[in-house]
Formats: sequence, C-alpha cells, structure tokens
Amino acid sequence: MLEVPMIQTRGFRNREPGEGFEVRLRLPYYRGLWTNLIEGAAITVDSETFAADGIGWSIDGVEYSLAQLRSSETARWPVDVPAILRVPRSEPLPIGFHDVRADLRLRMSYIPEELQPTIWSEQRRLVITR
Amino acid sequence: MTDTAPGLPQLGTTLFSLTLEQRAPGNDLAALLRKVATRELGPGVEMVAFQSLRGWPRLDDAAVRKVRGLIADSGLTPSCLAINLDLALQPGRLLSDDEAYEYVAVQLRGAASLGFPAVRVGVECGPEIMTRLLPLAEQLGVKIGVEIHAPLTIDAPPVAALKELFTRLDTEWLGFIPDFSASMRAVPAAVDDAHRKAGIAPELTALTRQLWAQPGPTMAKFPQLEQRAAELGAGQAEIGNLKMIFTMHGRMEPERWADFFPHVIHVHGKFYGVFDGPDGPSDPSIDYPAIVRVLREQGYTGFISSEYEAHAYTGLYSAFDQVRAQHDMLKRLLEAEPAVAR
Repeated sequence: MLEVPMIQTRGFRNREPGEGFEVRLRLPYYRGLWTNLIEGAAITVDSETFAADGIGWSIDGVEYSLAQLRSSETARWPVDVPAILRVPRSEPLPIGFHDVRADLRLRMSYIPEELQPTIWSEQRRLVITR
Repeated sequence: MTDTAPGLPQLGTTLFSLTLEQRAPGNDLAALLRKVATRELGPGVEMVAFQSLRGWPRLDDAAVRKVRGLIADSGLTPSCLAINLDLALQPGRLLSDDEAYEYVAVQLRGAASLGFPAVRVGVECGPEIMTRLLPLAEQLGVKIGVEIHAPLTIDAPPVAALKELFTRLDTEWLGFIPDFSASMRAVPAAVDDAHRKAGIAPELTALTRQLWAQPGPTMAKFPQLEQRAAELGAGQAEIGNLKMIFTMHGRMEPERWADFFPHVIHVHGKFYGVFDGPDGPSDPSIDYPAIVRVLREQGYTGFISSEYEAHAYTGLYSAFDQVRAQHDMLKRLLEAEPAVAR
C-alpha cells in the first residue's frame, strides 16, 4: 500500500553488504511521467548527501541507471507505482532512525525552459531495522 | 447532480480535483466516479487521461469497455477528457509537427472511443497542429479545446494566434477552454501555508505577492522576481516555488472572457477554496459574479468543470466538500436575476 507523501516509509532498508541501501519514492507529479523527463533524485541521509548520478532506479520491476531512464522513449513512471532507488554506500546504514531527504528534479514537458526543472523536496524520518 | 436551469451553463467535476483523494488507498477510478455521483457533483465528469487511465494513450478494447461501463454506471455525463501534448518530451529538442500530430491524434481517437465529446489540450498545441487535427476531430465528432490557464491571457501571442485561426476557420470543432485561473483577484491564502511548510521565508512570499499585484504582463516579472528573491537569499528551489505564484494565478480582467466567444467549447472552474464569510460562502481569489455574468451574457450552455487545485498547497480540506461549495455558489449566481451591466 502506498503512502501519500513522496518518500515512502516502507522499503527503506540496507541492501547486501557493500551495495548500499534502498529508499522508495512515489511520483509527486499528478499524471505519471515518461522517464526521460526525470533529471534525477539526490538523497540525503542525516547529513550525508548522495548525488543523483550514482543512484540506480527500479520502476515496475525494471532496473535502470539514471542515463537509461533518461534515454528511454517508452518507459513510464506511473503515479501509483513507487520507484525503488538504490543508493550506493560502502557501509550499511546504522540501525535506527534517520532523517531522509529527497530532492527530485523533473522536467515538465510543457513548461517554458526558463522555469525548468521542477524540484520536489521532502524530508521524512525513516527507520532502518536491519 | 447540481442541475442548473435550461439555457444556463451546466456544472460538473474534473477528477483532477481529487488528486489527493486519488492517492489514498482504495480510490481507484471506479471508486472516484461513484463518489462524485453519490455526492451529486455532476452531471458532467471530466478526467485527465494520463492521470486516471492506466496504460493511456493505448487502451485495449477491454480497458475501453471497462471505462465506458464505469462512467455509464455512475450516471455521470462525460464532458471533456484532458489530454496532453508533451512537446518537450525529448531532451534538447521539441517534437516535430509530425510527431506532435501523432501524439495528439492517438489520444483524440482514444477520447472518441471512450465517449467524450471534447478534449482539452494546452496552448503548446498551436495553430499548425490544430489545423491538421481538424479533419480528424470532425470525423470522430470530438471537439478540441485549448485551455487558457494562467499565466496566459487572451492577448498572449499564442492565444491571439489561435483566436485568429478559430475566427478564420469558423468551425465548431476547435475552440477555447478558458480557466478561472486566468482571472484571479488575489493569490490564494493556501499558498502562504504551503510556503511556510516548505520553509520559505515569509518576506519572500510577500515580495512575490507584491510583484504579482503590480500591473504589467506576468512574463515580464520573472527576471525581477529572480533577482530580488536571490538578493533576499532565496535558493533555486525556493525561487522555483515562488515563480509558481506567477504561473498559476493570472490577472486578466474577467470581462475579457467575452473575447474568447463564440469559440468557447468548455470551461474549467479552477479554484482554491470557497469559504464561509459574513455574507455567505465566497472565494477571496476569484470574482465569480464577474465571470458568471460574462458566461450568461454570451449564452454559454456548455459545462463548467469544477477544478479544485488547492491540493497542490494543502491537504486540510476535502475536495469533495470544496466542489460541493463551489457548485452551490455557481448555481446560485447562475440562476440569479441578470446582473445590471456596469
């Protein structure tokens, strides 16, 4: 079940050792998006920021690098499907609460260039249980 | 249903009003249509195809049958389907005219198969593409309306070009969908709440409101806002948020709506909140009596789709309740004795 905010509390977890962690985002834009309009999402956990370029994506079971998302002509991010962001980090996140911030940058397909990109920022307190 | 007397505009709802409700569990298309019907927020129903129809723009026959069935079961009348020309779909270039035509044409056919009598496109669907779409619109029996949303006005060059085209072609199949957002008298209070929550300094919001209220074309105010907001320490994301005040809330005089006629095929009743005041319910940001007067004077009998959009700023209010309040106010104004011309 999806939560209303962009950052989902479910699915925030460490991956296998050395592979970093995952966080799930729901598209805040109302009508779904062709993925080539995604400029990327930077993730900050507590005071550690992870650049958008290094973060891998998975939407509806298909895995993408940011470059692959941006070059696809057919992939969509539906409004009711969370994207799983795979964030590289050498050590797993410590068990406990973390302040997680996402800065999602999207190009809107109909808005003048001088107003681009649209940035959605949100912060929520999430918990790593293992 | 909020039925209005014969010879007056008809009321309806776009499911876009329910964007936040749609994000809540269980509120699929069937549920939203049922709730709109149960709460008598018809008779018209509009939806944004990419938002409400999974798999759009290529629905298979089973999906088409299902959606048609859901609308029929609800008892609502399809008024308009909002479609999109995603002109800046590709990084670094715009779609060619051929690509743009195809992108809209497939959606126009989809709208026809679902039983919608009209589609809404944005102003990026310019005269060239509209002209090419006309034979298809006629063949399918689906009107194409260009939404005139803030910050556009009747005088904006792309709108003026469309007006010239519609006048020249003199066709019932192409026209305008003016939106209440083009003619606002104040920035909605909900903006302040949203900015406060986003950590935007009140003086930045105040500066933007002050620039908004000054005379002059909105597009010319962007550089000024950027510079002055940056001087006050605003970052890129904050400036982006502030600019939205200009893009979402237009300042065209309501009386100018007369210039969209006789080419109005549908109306968007965008609004940000109807509130109880000492003189009954009213909307501080939109001059309803002035807009209603024009619609009546022009003999408009199409739909006004209530489009509640404060959900972009706040989740405090129920969109269902807000549309109810707007319908009640519109019905009262529409059915009142003709106002004395000013």
